[in-house]
Amino acid sequence: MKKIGVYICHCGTNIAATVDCSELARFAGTLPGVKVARDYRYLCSDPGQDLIKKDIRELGIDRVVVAACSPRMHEMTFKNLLSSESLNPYFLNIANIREQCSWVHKDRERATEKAKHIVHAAVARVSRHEPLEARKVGIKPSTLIVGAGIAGIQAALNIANGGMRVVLVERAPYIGGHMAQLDKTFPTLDCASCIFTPKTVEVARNKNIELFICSEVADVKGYVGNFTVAIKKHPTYVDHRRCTGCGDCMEACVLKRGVPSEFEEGMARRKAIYLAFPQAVPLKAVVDKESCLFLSKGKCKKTCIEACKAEAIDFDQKEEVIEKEVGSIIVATGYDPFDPHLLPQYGYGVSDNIITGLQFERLSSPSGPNRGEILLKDGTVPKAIAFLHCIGSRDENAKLHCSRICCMASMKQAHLAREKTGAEIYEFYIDINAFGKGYQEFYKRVREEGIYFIRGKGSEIYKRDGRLIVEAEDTLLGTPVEIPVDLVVLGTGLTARRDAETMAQVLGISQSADGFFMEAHPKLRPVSTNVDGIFLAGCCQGPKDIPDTVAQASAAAAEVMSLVTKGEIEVEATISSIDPEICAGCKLCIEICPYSAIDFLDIRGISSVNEALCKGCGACTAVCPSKAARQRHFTQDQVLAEVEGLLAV
Amino acid sequence: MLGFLCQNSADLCADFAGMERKSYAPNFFPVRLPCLGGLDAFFLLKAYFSGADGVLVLGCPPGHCRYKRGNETAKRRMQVIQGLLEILGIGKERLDFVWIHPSEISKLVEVVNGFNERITKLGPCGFFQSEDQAKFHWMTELKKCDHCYQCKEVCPICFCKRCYPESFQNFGLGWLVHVIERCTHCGACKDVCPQGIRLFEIVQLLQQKMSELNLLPLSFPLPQGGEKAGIVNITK
Repeated sequence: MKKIGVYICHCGTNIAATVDCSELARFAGTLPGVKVARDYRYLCSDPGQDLIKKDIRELGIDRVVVAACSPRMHEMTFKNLLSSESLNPYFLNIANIREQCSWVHKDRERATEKAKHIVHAAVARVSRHEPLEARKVGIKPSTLIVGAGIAGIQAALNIANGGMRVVLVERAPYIGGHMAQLDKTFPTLDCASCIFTPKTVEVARNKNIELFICSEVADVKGYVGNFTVAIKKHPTYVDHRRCTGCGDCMEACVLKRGVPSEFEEGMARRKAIYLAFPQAVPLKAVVDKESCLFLSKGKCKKTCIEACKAEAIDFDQKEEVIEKEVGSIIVATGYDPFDPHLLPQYGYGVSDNIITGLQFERLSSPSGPNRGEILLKDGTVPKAIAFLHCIGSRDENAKLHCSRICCMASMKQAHLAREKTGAEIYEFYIDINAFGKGYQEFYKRVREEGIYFIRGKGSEIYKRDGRLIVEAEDTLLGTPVEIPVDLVVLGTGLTARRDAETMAQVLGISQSADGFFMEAHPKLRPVSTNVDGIFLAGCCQGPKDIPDTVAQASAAAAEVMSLVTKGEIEVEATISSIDPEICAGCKLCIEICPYSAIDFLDIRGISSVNEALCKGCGACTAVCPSKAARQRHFTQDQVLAEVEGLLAV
Repeated sequence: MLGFLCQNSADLCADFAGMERKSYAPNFFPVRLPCLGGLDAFFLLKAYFSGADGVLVLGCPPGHCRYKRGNETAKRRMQVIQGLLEILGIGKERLDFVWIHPSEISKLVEVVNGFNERITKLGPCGFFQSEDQAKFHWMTELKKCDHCYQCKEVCPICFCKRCYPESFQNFGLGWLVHVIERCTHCGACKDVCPQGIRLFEIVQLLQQKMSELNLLPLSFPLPQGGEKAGIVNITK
């Protein structure tokens, strides 16, 4: 007879407030096989754990049911406890009476009733648990980092400087992401490229970092420690081993007007073959397939080939798919700025001189299209500028979330505009979100510079007498205001990447309701995902400023390094097996297995599970007509017992 | 109400619902599974036989399955099982299958509460109220089973080491479902039942009815248009 110990956690009042814990313990004590049932204030605490240890030693408890929070929180804690008492860790069962009971029900009587059912099921199940050995797998020491913005770069450098290999994949032809586009950074007003360029240069120089530009991650297979990733490398039509980045080809390109430059946010134009910007890393030319006359229309004198002294241009380049083996993955794919076309009341794209925050950054940047002078479309200096906060953020009609950085970015831009043009500046805000170190002080400083702060969201922008009129309601005065200005800067919010869903599917990770990738726990595991070995860094997880992004990137790097340093990791033992005596060799399981982990043994006429490939989904167990296939820890017997226990009267 | 929850989506979502203190019907009992691809038809039947009035199956939306396509397999299987529930007189509306993404907390709450309303309206689950019973009386007949397991002993395809239907209150029905897709019509069970249950006829009847409704094979519903392989050929 098994000796089951049932331990009910009060979790302070988290459980005890809605579930009658002592009644639950009394009930558990009456269940078959239960030797002892106790309730305690905090089981995860040391005295709580000692309580269980003592019972294991003195009463010979050999199965443990812990009725507490979700197994996602403390399953490991108690598994370790069992191991330390020389019990098989799979002789544990966690009954989730917090997240799925006490926290979601208000009626104490009914919640207690439900908790009884849950505990009953857990007891019935645990008595049927079998001892299992966790499998250990090695961790491949290299890491894939998706996206080479500041987050990807920071993580890559952290890991590479620790002596481990990094595969850094970037979709754009240059690394640096959005930070490379910025002029100055708040609140210190450091020049972004001055603090950033050394990092990008270091990435290019570091021998441990293998950089793929113009590339995307097409497929990810495998599991923690052993991922196989397919990197799709788009053709750049320039041999980067030869290209010197001299720019002669750009001069020679016959595309006269050029096309809007992505890097300059459409504020300047580029040729079909181009260097994104003079400080780009790597400084290599690429050909844009869409705008190149030869590649799109098939007719061009190909003057670029003549101009290139290094003979680097190669129109025969094809798309390549490169496979890499990595042990862990950091996702740092960043964000897309909110598209203000979606809110037509702001007239973006209709009237001139209505620009987004990022466009202002380019305008204000010394390396930008106007060499840092803030000028209107006709080349004159603006006399009045309006900055509108929360465009696309905190808006029921766009995105509900706060994008966090726009208040500070707008105020920084206001400061720069004031300094450079002396114009009258108006900030239209709902609330000022100055959350970081030194941010509130910066807000105060900007206010004192004579910038007008109007508490009210800009509602409409239209043209009158050659000027732009910003309409808003000043909620402090309680009156509508109309302010004529020459330039409007829309503080556009941060949104999840348009292709975030595709990326999530490739990686097998989840997205939150706002589209950003979801962390494993909002507070305690903000860097991990629900897939072991895949971590998040930067704005792909949610809007962040640069310091937070850098901090999260380093945290992700630390997670990766702790994995790699350990060298091996325990993976779940809950895989399938097929009983050779029962198997009839119908091969249904072979057909359903998503990982081709089942082989057919011709000589014996039966199927057999390849344990190295099995991931433990259980699909084979459900199709097996004779129930020869069984999944460890989720056997029919165990689940049926659980179902029976849940529904027991 | 019992729920089978995929641990990568719906179960995670239920945990999030807890963290946000989103309240739902307290008669919803969740069972966590690694993947709904492993949700056996037997688990569901067991739920109804153990007294569940409704079963809610919650898995990840298409394309989000961590095990590639477990959710799609489960969906097809649920459709087949709904057909079986109709035959058994339980009613297909007592089983629902819904995609739940981990972030869809309010959807989870809506689904659970909505299903609860539906089940409350339907009242307690009964097996013996359908027209089939009036026609064939086989449900009433199966009720006579007194767990002697004679039929199991003589059946040549009963080779499980541990008999799962034995844990069913209505062994006959569990056994029927267990062998239905493999029965070779050998007739060994014809005269063994001391209670006089006409098992052989009932198996044939059930099999005929299921194939009429295109419900076989039960455990391995293939994608639409997919070639029917394996078990069907064996049965034939």
